Amino acid sequence: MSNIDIELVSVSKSFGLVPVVHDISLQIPKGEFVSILGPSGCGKTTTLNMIAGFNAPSLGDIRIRGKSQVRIPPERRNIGLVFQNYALFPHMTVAENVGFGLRMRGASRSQISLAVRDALRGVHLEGFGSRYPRELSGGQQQRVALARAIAPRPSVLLLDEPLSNLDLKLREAMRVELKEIQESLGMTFVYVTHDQEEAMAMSDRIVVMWQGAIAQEGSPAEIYSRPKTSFVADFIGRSNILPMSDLVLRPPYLDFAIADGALRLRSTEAWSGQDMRFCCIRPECIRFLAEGEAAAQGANQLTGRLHRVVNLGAQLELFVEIAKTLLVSATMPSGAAGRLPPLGHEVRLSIAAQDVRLLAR
Amino acid sequence: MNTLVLELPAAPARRDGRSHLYAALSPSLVVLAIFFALPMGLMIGISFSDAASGTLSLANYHRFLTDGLSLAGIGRTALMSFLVAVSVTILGYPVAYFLARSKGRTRAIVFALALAPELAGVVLRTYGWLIILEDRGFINDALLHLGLIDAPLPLSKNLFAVVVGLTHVVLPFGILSLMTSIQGIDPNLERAAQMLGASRASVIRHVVLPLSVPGIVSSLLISFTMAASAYATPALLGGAGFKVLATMVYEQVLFYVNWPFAAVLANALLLMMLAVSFIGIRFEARRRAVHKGLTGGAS
Amino acid sequence: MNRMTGILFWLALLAVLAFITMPIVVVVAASLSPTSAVSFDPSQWTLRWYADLASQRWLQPFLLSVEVAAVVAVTSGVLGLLAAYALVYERIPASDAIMSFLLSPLSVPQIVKGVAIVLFLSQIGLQGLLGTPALIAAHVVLALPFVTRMVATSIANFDRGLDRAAQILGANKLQRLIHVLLPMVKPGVLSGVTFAFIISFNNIPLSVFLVRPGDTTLPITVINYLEYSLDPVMAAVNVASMIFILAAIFTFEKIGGFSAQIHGGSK
Repeated sequence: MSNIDIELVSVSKSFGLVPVVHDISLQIPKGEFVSILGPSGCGKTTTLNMIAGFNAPSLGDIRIRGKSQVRIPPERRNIGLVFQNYALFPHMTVAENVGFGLRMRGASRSQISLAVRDALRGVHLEGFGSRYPRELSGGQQQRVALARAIAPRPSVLLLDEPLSNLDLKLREAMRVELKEIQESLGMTFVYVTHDQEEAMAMSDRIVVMWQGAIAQEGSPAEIYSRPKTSFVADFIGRSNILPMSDLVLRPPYLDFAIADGALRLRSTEAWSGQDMRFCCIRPECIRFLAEGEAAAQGANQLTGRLHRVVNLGAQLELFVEIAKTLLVSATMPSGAAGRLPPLGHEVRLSIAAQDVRLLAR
Repeated sequence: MNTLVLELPAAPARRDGRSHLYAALSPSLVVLAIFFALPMGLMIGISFSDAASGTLSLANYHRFLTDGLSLAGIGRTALMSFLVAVSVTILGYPVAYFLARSKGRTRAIVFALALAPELAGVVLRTYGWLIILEDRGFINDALLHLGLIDAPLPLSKNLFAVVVGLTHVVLPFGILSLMTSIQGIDPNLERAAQMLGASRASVIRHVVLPLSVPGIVSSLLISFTMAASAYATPALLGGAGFKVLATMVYEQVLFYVNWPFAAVLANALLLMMLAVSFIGIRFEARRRAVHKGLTGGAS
Repeated sequence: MNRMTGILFWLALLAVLAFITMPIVVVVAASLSPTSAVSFDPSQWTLRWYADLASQRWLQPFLLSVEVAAVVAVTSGVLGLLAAYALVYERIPASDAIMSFLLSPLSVPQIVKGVAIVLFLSQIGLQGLLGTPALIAAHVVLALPFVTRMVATSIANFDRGLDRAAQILGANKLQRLIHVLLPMVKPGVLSGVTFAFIISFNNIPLSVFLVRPGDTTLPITVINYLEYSLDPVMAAVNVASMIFILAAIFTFEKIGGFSAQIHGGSK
């Protein structure tokens, strides 16, 4: 049997005349941690709703382990869901909340209490069973929500931006915990978020959605280093996205102009025949050349003025004015600050040709 | 909020599932149809019939408009209700403001004190006012004792007593209505005014009062409506000579057994209520329109 | 300047609170006074007027009022819950129109409703229903819109996310109603039931036309007496009635714990 846990086949969804999700096809293998990443309004929540069964697709099919789910209501799909605002039952204790799924499935009292104990231990909340949700902190409530969803051992766990209500430190700690739980359970996680850092940190695979369709799908590394569109390049991490013109093929390079023809750059990326409009350069790929230092063979070399330095703590973000029309952003570890000339002075930059990515749109 | 919920469950609509919902609704609908809708219709119909012969006639309405007593009754009802509405709103405002802006035990005590009289029932409170206001009652007793007056002041069995009594009865509702409205005013607005140099009195005058106008109107309307519909308090505190629509209806039904005329009076009272509600709705609609204009449509 | 305003405000507040409590204090004192003159001297207070409470002339209407109020409270509670469930939770077609109809009695003064009902009963020859049956029916008409509205508010405030959560955990429709909706809505329902009990027990304008000699409520019995005399026994009856209501609320609260609604509830 195939090891695909969830499959969306040409799924579209419109609310009335408003199309929200457009022809999405997706395959999620068993045991994978997949994030559906995108800005608000991109259709990721609607997609999650459809997998859960709260919305029916207007077109297409949704299969779980090969079986079409469209006729099956949420209560019989055997999937778990962690809600963004936790949705803990306020009138039940933590233990009653966590045991609810098993209770609905008719498990015996002893089975339930055993499973509840295990689940609470799994989220490091042993002993909290008799408390009420309102007595817990946000982070604790979130873990109860997780325990509750996992306790009935569903085949798949859906998570709807579960960390968005937590503050930064807690979020970062929970990312690690979530990933560890997922790995130890070997459960398929489908994680919806707008936070690209989160998606990058936890996922085996990221599905980037935009305006109801899948913009790009792949591993975090792939998506980061080889974005296909300017939307993806811009949404994930920081990048300099510059319009290109006057493309000339000079093997092994593609030579083109930026800044309205004032400068020329080269890239090693192959001409795909498509309409290439933008180039994308990640800030960390821009190197500052020291006095007298020459750029490596074949690398792009640019001269500009240091416009602004922003201290982000561990890193510096530097804005360099090039050809009087462009501001390019570069990053540098804070420790290297001593090498920088004062603001307004000339700086020389080097960018490897392989680091210049080309984007279709 | 929970972003996951966009629409109702997508389980295929089970048409059969609906019938049990209609069954759930039907007892309520049946009770109201039989004991409310039907009787109301009947009453409106009977106002058009002649008391003796039962034939269709406008005689009752004619009498209503010409006998002088009926119109006087309406006038008295309206005046009484208006005075009650104003008193309730004025007296209730400080309490409402306090309740809207405070927390903790003091608030709980004031809240209980403001609303608990409602539990005591109309009779107890009206009886209390009778004792206080009557000729041999409290106030007169004290004033006579202190030598400030020679003869008892006529504080009961008149408009004054009824207004005092009804104000007391209606006050909890006015306070609640005002409190809700004031709670809706962002406290930061008051703080902002203070930071800009306004004294407490100015803050109330320039910030709180204008913004609580909807609540004030609501309180006036509710108080008016409740006062106009009241029976026990005008009957007890107003005395035999103080006739408002409610007591007149009672009289027509139980003393004169003149159903049609009673129906006319009842209809008049009902019309008064509807007119007041209508004013309230129009006011609310106007306010919404103005508010929309001010905020550029982002209501 | 601000202090002046502050002082004035507190004075106004205290004055209004004094106004509110005065009649009640007076009646309580009157019920304990040895003579028909009201005495505030605790050393003179006596409970002798309360002794009369045990007599039939008070006991009978009291029991009737309790009986009617209890039936009305339960009936309105059940009917209101069912109606609010169908209209707000399930949102059947024409919900808004039906809800308007269910709330329409609120716009009609009680005196008018009372006349209409007694007229209706006499026109169709059912005067026999006057007394307890008519009172129950009329009070239900009075209370039902309030209860329906209170329960509807409770349901409207109910977080649908909880329903989804239960659903995804495997609960079917009936299970969700029993384990999630009902417990969350319970405070609203109990508030409604308590409210219905109180307005039925204390009711006068609606009931004046619907009582019969021997089959009459406590408040109406009292005002009939008050038309003629200011006997201190009245005060005792009134105070006892108030204590009864307070006890009833206290009991309902213990059962339902709806004070959470006043204190803001969980989360």
